[in-house]
Amino acid sequence: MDTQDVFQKLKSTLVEQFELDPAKIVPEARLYEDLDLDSIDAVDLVIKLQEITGRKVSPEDFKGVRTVADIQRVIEKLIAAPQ
Amino acid sequence: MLKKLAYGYRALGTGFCFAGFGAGCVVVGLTLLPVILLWPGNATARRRRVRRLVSLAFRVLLAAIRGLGLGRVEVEGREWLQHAAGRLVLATHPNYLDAVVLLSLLPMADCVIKSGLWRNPFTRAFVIAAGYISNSNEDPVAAIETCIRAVHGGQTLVLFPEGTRSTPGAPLRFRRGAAQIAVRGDLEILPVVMHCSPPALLKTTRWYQVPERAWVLHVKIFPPRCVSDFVPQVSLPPAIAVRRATRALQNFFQEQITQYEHAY
Repeated sequence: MDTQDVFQKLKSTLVEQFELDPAKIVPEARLYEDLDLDSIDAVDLVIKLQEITGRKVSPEDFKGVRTVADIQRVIEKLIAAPQ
Repeated sequence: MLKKLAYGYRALGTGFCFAGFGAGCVVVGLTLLPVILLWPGNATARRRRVRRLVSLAFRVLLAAIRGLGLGRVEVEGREWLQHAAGRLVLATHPNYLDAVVLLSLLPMADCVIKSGLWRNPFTRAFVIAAGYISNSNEDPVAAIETCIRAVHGGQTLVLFPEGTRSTPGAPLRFRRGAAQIAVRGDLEILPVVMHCSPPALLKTTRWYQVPERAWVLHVKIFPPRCVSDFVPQVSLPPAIAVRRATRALQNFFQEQITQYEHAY
């Protein structure tokens, strides 16, 4: 998956899981303030990302994540890392 | 002149009740509470006794408020309270006294209350001893699981979906916590609509700014409804079901409040 694929996949996941307006999902959108996601949503998202990437994702990977672009970077790092 | 006097009297009376509440916390906290806690029995029995004490104290407080002519509580649909066990009681939050009223009506209930009461020296001992649930957001997932477990275990859980006292006249704004618990636990809800007219004991006013006449707190208890009545969850991702349930609940309560606002 290249960067664009990752972003599209993340976008469609956010839309499907949280009924978000696709137009609002831009890299710089802040998860809490702009997308109104809460901490429980974050847990759901981690589980979903685990399914998508096929990698073990731990909540620690998401420490400091604030925006959509931050999540994208975490996913790319996870995919790049050896199994 | 007479009106001013009556106003001053009710401001004074309100102050007296606040002071009485504080003094009551100290006196009962130093006398009855230790006795109850030291009385033989396991942790569950102790907690039940403390909750009964809190409920009794709240009944005394409400009787004093009524006796002093400051305001009164009118309960409609009291019979539904018998069905509160194993259900989630969701209530609107127009003023300070909502939790007082609900816990006086439901002595055994668990209640999610603001974490500040764990730091308040007057209330701290009681909220700990009664085992109420704090709304602090340290571990929201664990908090939601605790709430669901309590209800599945047959407890009544009282929760204010707004999370804070509402502003009279402004549209209700529910947070998602209540729906998280209801949807993920597939719980039945006992809705309680509370409305105070004229508005009193608000977030935006000081205690001595009493309304122009004695207030009436209307409490209307509705028959229990399953959360899926509010939002059919046919294989929706939980986060979406929670969002829809939050909106549906908010609309339900808003409709009821609007009726009150037109009536009074």
